[in-house]
Amino acid sequence: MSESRDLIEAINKSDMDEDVKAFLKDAVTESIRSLSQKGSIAELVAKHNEVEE
Amino acid sequence: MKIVEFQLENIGVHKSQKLDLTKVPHDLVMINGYNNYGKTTLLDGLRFCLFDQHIDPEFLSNSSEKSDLKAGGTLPMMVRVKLELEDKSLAIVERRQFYTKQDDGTFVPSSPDSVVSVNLIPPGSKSGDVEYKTDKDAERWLATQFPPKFMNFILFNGEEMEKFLNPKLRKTVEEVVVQSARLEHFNDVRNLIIGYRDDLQKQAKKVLGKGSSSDSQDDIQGLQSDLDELERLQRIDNEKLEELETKSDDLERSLNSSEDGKKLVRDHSELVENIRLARKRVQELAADLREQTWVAGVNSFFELRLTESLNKQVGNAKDNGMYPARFAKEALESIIRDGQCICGKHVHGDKDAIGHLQDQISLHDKAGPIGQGLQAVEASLLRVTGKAGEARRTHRTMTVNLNRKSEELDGLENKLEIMLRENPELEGEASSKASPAEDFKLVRGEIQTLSSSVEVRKGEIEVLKQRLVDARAAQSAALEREGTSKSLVSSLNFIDRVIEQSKDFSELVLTGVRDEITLYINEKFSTTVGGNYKTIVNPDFSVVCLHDDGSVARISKGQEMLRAYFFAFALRKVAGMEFPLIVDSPKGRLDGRNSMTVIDSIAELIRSESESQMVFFMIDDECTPDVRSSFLELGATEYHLSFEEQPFRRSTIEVGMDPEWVRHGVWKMWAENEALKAQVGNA
Repeated sequence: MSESRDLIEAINKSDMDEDVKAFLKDAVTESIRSLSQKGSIAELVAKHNEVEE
Repeated sequence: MKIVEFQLENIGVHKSQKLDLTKVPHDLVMINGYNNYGKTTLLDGLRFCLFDQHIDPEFLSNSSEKSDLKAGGTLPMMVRVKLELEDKSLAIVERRQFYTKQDDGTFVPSSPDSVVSVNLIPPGSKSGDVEYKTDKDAERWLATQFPPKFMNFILFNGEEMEKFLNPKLRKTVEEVVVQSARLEHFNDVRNLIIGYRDDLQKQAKKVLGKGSSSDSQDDIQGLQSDLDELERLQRIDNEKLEELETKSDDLERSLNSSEDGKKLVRDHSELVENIRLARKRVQELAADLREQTWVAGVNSFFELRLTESLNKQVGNAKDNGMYPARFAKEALESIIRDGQCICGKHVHGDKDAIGHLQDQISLHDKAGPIGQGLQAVEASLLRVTGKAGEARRTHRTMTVNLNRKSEELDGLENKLEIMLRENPELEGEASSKASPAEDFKLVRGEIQTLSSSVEVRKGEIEVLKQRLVDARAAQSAALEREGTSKSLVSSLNFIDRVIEQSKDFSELVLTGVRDEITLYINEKFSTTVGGNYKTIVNPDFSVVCLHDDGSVARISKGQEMLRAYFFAFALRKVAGMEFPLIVDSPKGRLDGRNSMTVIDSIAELIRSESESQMVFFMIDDECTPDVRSSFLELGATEYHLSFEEQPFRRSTIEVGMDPEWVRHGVWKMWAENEALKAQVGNA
């Protein structure tokens, strides 16, 4: 059975922006339960989306 | 992953069955047997154990008596599959008992009817440690390792292969692709991201709905402007207050500097006041004197005229020997008219004289004798003369008083002149009509008024300052919110980009999978079947073969089955499946040339796709000598099912070829040929 690495390969092969790819790769590596926890996605967004101050 | 041990108890004809594949040299196994020997039951046992596939309790009975079908459900059935998974061994055990037989002969359903356990067995250990202690955990683990949707791609049934690409299975194919590519997980993640985006939008709406920092800035500017103006006025008033305080201090100092100074100021004030009073008195006396001058003048006039009139009347009376009262009356009236004409309304003090004359006139009206008339005139004259004398005396007295008062005023004015000459600083005070004390009082009053105003304004300034502090706090809060909203907007933009760019991702992956499957099928078709066919996997996973000109190619039943095999192999490959491949009746209902083509092609597939363990279940018609030979050449290990009817229907798995086969059909011919070959060889 295929693991997340196949999904990550597919994401890498896509023509999405690099920061979007990096975000999605991190997101799909997490379990849904972990990702559903409050603040989890926000942390990922903060990690991959650099806010210009 | 491969199956190393397979054990069944109380399932159909398999009373107690065990297949040990541990020592099989290659991962290729043939299990052959006649129809109804329990081949399919073995596969059902695997489906039941690995995929929790429904099993009919009636099927469990090994009794041929229909009336005792439920009795099969009373037997505690068990399937145990031992697997090698990477460097680990594990056993999946599933037990079930459908019914319990009561003492009265009736059957009641058992509960629970299913128990699953999974034991993880470390290498080298026979007993193994139980990793999954609860049924739920075991079932969850099993569903992860053997997803139910994958069942048709692990356990094939050749007889159904021709239906393999029907719409129902196509849907399953898509589900398998989605699951194998973890697109379900991806879509779940994406849905969570979309949910997070909705939350962000709500937050942004909430934050952006409040006042902005620019609004607060306007408030601050307005308040600051008001405050600046108030503070400016306050500064002016404070400066003025300081000046007044200084002036007040000077005045106070001046007032308190010395007793002489104070006395001088008092004397000066007193003198000025006395002069004012003296001037007033002189003015009054002068006015009285002017009045008295008139009075004296009028009285003198009456005195003169009466004297003249009397002398004339006396003379007339003496000449005529009589004095008529009428003449006296006319003379008096003439005097009164003349007096009134001269004095007018300004005559003062003569009213008595005129009144007396009028009394005399009425007396004359009554008088008759000359003597009385003369006496009356003389009396009047006497009175007028007295009055005139008195008026003149009064006038003189008043003149004297006036002169004396004038002198007194002159004296006072001289004294003031001297005082001012000696104390020139008093000049201003005198001219301002106010004393230093009054000035001091005025200044203190002004200070008090100004201080009140300053105090009131101080309160207003404090209020404004507090409002300014509040406005600045509001601005800080707004700036903080704007910082937050900026971050929110940035996050929203990023999330929107993620959602937008990933919206076609699943479809792209599916398209990629379809392309891979298409490529695989076309490659296998060209190498095994040949022909100018091009296979297309449609978006709904239906498969068609086309000629080069695009027309639909008609292919044989055998080719259709092969296409299904290729498709299934391709799917396993793109899905990265590592499960064993178990095929029941690999050539299905195909016959003759078609069946050999299929078996040859399958053998070719096995040679090229050797990663997976493969187990083939075949009947005698299917496993022809040629097929068997092909499989044995590939290194297959052969088993057969042995069956006995008595004392009850029972099947056992044994190694090697079924010796019964050589007594019938093609196998009999094959055996004879083999024997003949052997004889020739020996000869």
